[in-house]
Amino acid sequence: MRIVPKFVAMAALLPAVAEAQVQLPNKWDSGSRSLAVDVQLPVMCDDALYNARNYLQSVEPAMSLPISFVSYSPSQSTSTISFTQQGYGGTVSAGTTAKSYMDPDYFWESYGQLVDADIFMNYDLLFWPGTTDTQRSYDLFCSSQYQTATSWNYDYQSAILHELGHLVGFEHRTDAATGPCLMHSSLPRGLTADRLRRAFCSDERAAYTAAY
Amino acid sequence: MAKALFAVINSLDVDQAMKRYLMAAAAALFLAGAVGSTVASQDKAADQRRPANPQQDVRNFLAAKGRQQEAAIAQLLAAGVPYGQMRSIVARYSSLLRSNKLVSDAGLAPEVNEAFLTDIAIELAVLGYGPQDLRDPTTARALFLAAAAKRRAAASSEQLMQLAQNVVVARVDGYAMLEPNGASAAEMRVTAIRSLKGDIAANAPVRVQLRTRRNADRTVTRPTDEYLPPIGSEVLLLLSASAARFQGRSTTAVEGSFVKITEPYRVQDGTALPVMESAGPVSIAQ
Repeated sequence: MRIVPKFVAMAALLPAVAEAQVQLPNKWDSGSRSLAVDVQLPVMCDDALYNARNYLQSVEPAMSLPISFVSYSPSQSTSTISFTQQGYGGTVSAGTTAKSYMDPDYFWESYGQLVDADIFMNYDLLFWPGTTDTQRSYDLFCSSQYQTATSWNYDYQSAILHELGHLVGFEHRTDAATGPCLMHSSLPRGLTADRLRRAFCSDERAAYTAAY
Repeated sequence: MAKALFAVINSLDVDQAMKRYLMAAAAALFLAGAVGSTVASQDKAADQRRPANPQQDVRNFLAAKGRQQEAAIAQLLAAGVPYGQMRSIVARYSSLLRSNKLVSDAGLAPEVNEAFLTDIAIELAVLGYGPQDLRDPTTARALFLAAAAKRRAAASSEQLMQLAQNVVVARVDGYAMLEPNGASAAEMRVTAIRSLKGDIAANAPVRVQLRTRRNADRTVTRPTDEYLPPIGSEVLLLLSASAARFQGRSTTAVEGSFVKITEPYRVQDGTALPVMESAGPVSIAQ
């Protein structure tokens, strides 16, 4: 079934959106989005993935995110979760959600209805060794069964929940780059309680439940 | 059960409007219950745990990484880059790699280390470094560590600036799609204010390739980790002209076109603030 995209004129609303700290300008048309997880993704990160998905569904049951494991194949009807398409020589991050917007002529400042969103996690941050004592091992931390926690680790569950936040329509917050809330543009390293981002802040939660 | 309830409602001694209201309410309740149980059953069915297999996890990663590296090396060799020499020189610094418990326990540490050395060599080659740049051991070690940190999103601002060919303070003039009517890549257009490294002149126009792109169906795909600074804002850009050749946009360097090796820094009161946490702020006060 071909998805016929709807264009939502957001330009007139931009000043109000831009001033708000929480931004959830994009929405899915229906209360469900299938997540097709690449079978090549590490099994040891499955628990963190389910925990993140289950948290979102507990906050807003109307937005269903069923998960299935598949061999990676891009599709507009499902959202895929796979390895990052990180190239060489360019910018890198723990993960990204590539989203499709509706207005190609004002892409740097416009929003619209989502037609597709895929998550790419950077598994270079899971398997590569470090080169200093403080970078002793890897960055993304999924499992205490197979990994030793260090202060250099990103909590995978925080990272994937942040990306799922993008997938359900959130943009980064406008108040700061880092902070205690999930949708700040940068997640802090470290696994102490103050560094984890496994839940919305109250304003993010309110925006999510209002949207769906 | 729904049928029985509807039959009971129908038998009530109330007006038709009230009966319709009660039936609608009952239908809504049943629908909510059905959706809830569907979601719950999906969750239950989907939450089937895959058997843990760390060795297979590592092998899957190495397989995917191998394919990516193969394509990148082919592109470098086709462009005449002496990748083989680079790889040999990089291998001399393998002792700088620390252990990774995950891959060691999976018994794949040698393979992972070799793959990481390949990634470092490719990264340096794409950024325009050659064997001549790695001749001095002190310089080579610093470049090795910087490239390794960059591949792990752990590079400091100093390391990123070391890897960049050009570092400029610039003003954002606008954005554009390279091919207005087709599937295309986007670019950011800036005017250089001041160069901190490299040879971009003040007031020179600079084009920066973006990962944002227009698809054939005219939708736009925008990576959420791509920072698009507001038009008119001042930014610090860490750029590579050489990397522009190997980003998939073109096989030859386009005059004035660059790739950003990290997201733009926001300039505020003489300080450039990074988006990524690993990089620190940079003082650019004159």
